[in-house]
Amino acid sequence: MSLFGTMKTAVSGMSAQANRLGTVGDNIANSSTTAYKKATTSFSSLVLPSTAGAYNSGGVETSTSYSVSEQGALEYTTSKTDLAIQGNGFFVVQDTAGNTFLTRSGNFTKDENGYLVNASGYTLLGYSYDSGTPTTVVNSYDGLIPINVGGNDLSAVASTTGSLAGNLNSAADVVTADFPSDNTSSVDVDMDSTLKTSLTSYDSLGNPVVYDFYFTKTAAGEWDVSVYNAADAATSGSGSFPYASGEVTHGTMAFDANGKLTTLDGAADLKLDVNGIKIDLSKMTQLSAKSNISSGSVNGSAPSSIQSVNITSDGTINAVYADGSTKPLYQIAMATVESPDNLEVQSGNVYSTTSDSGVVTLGFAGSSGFGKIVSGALETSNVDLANELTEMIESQRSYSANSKVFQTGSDLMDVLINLVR
Amino acid sequence: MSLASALSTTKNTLSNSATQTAVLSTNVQNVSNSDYNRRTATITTNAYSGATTVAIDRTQDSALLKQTLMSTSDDAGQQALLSGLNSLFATMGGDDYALAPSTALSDLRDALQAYAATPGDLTLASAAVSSATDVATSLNTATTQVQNLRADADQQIATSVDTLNKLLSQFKDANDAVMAATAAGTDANDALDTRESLLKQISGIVGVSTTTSSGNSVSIYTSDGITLFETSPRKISYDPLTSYSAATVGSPVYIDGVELSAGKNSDSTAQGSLQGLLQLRDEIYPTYQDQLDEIARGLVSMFSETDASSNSVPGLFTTKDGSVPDYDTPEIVTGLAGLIQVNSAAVADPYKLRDGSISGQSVNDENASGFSTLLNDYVASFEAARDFDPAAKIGESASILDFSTDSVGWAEEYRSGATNASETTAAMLSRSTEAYSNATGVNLDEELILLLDVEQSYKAASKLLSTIDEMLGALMEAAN
Repeated sequence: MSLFGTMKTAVSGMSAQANRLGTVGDNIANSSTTAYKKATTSFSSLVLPSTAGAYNSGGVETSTSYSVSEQGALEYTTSKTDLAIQGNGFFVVQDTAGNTFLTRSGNFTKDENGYLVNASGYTLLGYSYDSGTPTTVVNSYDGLIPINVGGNDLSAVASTTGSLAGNLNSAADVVTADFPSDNTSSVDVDMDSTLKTSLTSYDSLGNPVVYDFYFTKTAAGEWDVSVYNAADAATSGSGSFPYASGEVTHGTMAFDANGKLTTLDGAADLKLDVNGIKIDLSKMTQLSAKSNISSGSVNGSAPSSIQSVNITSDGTINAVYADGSTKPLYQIAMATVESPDNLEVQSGNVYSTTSDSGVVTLGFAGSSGFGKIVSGALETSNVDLANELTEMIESQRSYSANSKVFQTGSDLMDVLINLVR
Repeated sequence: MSLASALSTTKNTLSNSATQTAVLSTNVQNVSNSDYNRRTATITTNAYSGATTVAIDRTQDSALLKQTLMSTSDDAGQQALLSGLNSLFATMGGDDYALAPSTALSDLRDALQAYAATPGDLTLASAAVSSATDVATSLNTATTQVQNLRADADQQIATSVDTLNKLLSQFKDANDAVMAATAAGTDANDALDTRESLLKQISGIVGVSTTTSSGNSVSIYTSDGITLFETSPRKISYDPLTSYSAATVGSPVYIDGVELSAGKNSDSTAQGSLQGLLQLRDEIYPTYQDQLDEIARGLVSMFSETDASSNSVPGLFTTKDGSVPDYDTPEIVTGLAGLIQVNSAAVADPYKLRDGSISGQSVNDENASGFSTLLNDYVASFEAARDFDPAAKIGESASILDFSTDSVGWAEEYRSGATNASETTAAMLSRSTEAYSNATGVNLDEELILLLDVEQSYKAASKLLSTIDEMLGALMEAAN
């Protein structure tokens, strides 16, 4: 009985080593697979009840575990849609049937419909910015949609704020007649007593609207600002006056003894409302230097299509438009579980939750418990070739040793059988 | 750290070295490109991803760029002025001013003097009248040439305005490209080079000052503060005229609806060629024309005769269209120099000059052939002080000979002032361009030294690679 037992023990040892060799083979095969997590075989003894004087050899049991929580090194690429997670967490992806999985394999590329799909064919999920800054549902996949960076849509942003900075010459002559607000052709724009500048803004349809600003000295320490729509400017004759329609807005600027703007139309709010665009004039000064506008800007953008996308470390996908403006489109969802190593491993480097792993928790990259997203990088597999090869040699020797045990058992059986001749 | 990650680090080092080499070779390629700013490829560690990458920076020096743009504008304005003044100088006949009215005037005086000595000599009388014709022709020609110069300047302004509009629309494209690349985080350096080169070209036409706002967008204002470009280019409008007469007033150049002022003085305040051309067209050429007109008015006045009712009438010199200008008031009669001619009656009978009977009552009561009083008066009047319009910028009182010589002197003084100033601006431009190029251009020696550095690190990385390969090889042998 015990001879057979010894042979069976040797067989269990051999099959355990075969299992181990299997994981080593898998690991080596996938040593270049993006975000592959190495499999490890662990052994545990199996003991059979023995009586005094009669030892029953037992066997060995194997179990396979995956080092899912062990971070792989980052490898940098030139594609911006290659994503790697530095730290904890998984991307949430779905297959073509709509089943949701977790993965760390971030080699996404844009498919023909504009979706971000990784090398295993899974589509990246995230939250849309369509209805404002996204928030997560902590323990479910609700609200997640496939991320589409197709970029066929046009976008225009209406102007809301702007600013003008510059100096108005305190030593300039006071203008006594023909103010810009009179809208007559005899306005003398000498760029000192009467300074003109213009700003480009955009309406809600993305049409550029240029506003002409005239600053005129009306008294010591007091300047008038008149704003006209440049589209109404006279096309013939001298200069822009007279405009076809009256001034858009008008303001009176008062400066203090230090040349600082104190009030606009008697109020301390130094923002001029030009058709709903608040132009900040607080940086205008009145010093004894040539009248000049040093800088002026208005927000907003003309209609333009998506030029490229960029992905920030918190997973926000921004569309970059042709004029350089950016707009957030999606935020990539991140998920984690209590015990990542107990996730069920499925083909294509994806994981699904099990009762052992715990329930899924969703959040965003960079928030507590989640790592950061690195754009233009991939996580390499955490397999160490040297380690695997060593394990392979060890496994090979161990297998030979087991086969020796088996052979010895078999030889002894031979001896036993020959006794009965 | 496993061997695999050592391999991937080595791979990264090799690719970084390759990027650095590419940047260095682009630098070397552009060694003689004045619009290229040197790039430096430095190895940096990305703060948040930990990646060791190559950051490509473009060398910039905003203070020197500002200086270069300013001296470009100064020089362009000054050179435009000088070239216009040289053209004016050419119309006077070069170094001996052979074609200037002053030369013809002194010839006329000499002819009259000769005739006054022998008042009965028909040949001398004809010679005097023919000298007078030369004077009229010289004034006519000078007028035509000055007005042609104005038309040329007008044409050049129109061309410059077109170029400026075109450059500004190209600037918008370059500016958009810079903004897009900046926002996308890609390499904006080539677009920055293009934008800067356009800015340099613009500064040759009109003086500029720039400000950079959010998203790396640049706004351009003229040196007077008129908006040229802010998000979108502003319109520069100009109505060119095809022909000019002395009375024509050239149309102004409007930038964003504001009139561009002309340059002033021989050491011109002009920033860019436009202001220099405007100064020529609206100030220098018209002033010279005014001086010609004053000479013409003086001549008509000098040779005026008295008619039967004791009224003063134009005598030897009259106008082509028969109009009678107010020649006695010291006030410019615009365009008179173009209209002046010798009375045909004097050509038909040169003796009438002696008698003062070209269109007036003869003062030679006895009809004596030796009558020289009037002729001597004429000769004396060349030296006598007359009143001139101070608007012609020569003075209120001078003899006509002095006035005409001073007119040449005025143009010549302007030209020599402009020549001196242009030497200064040209030197300033070459100095600032050189300084800017030294600060931002490519230095071949430096590039080659850097190349050696990169080569060393590339060699080290490949040494690492082969070592790791050997180590893996050893492991494989063990597994045999």
